[in-house]
Amino acid sequence: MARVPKPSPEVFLNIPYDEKFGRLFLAFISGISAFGLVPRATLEITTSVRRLDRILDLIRQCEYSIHDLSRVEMDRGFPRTPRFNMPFELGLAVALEKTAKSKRRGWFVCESRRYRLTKSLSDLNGTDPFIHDGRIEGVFRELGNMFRAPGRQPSVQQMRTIYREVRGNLPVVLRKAGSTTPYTARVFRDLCLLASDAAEELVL
Amino acid sequence: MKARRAIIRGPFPTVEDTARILGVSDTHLKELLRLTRSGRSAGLKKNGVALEKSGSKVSRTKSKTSANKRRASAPRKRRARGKSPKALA
Repeated sequence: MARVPKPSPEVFLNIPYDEKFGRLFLAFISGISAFGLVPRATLEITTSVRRLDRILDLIRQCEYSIHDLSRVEMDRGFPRTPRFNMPFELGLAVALEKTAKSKRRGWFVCESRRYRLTKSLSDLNGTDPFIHDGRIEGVFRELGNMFRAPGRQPSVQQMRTIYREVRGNLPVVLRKAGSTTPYTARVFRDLCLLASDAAEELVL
Repeated sequence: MKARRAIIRGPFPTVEDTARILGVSDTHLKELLRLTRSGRSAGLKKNGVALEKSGSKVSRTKSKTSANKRRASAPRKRRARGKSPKALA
């Protein structure tokens, strides 16, 4: 019987959707694609009906998840509140991995500052976060620490080239989607496709 | 404790596979690639050859001496001084 090829692993990307995070957002998409993985995000969920169920489904179908908690802080809008979505989705991912039928294989926590996680989420004491220093090179470096692709390990330079390609084409993608922000379902998908195309061409 | 490094083994997705996973139609994918590939830098080549080339370009620029830079930015008349018409052609 012919062996059915394993589908490509998908990575649930749990990140803040704000302007300041824009460059790191593109860096995560580029780096994940360089490893031959497919990024997924809650941006793809456009309807608000049973949103939580759809988030759970999305996390469940991804083998890995990356949770960036670097911008869990008070916002400026009134009333000032911290952002709970990222830690909440991290909790969902951890819980789903513990269930018996799960195909999930791992979750990774990212931070921009060392020891901040110990203060903000002490339940994760004993789990070292991946510190990217809020820089795109840091994101590429830490992705290299999270994933290993024998025979296809992308270098930081290759990830940077993919990033440049994606970033260079961002205005075209935004114009095509009639959007001013990269945090929409259509723009996210287009950016993933561009990164995948560049990775296919650049990384063996 | 650092999370264990995940090992990713093939088959690695093509852009068509990625489009299928993300629920993007073939028509949309083709249109997107047509729009973006037209402006793609020629340097994006397989195996990072382009990266090496760009590296050597950088070093060439750095090796330019200030005398060379001065000569290059000088007016045409001054650059032509002392040179045969053949060299200037």
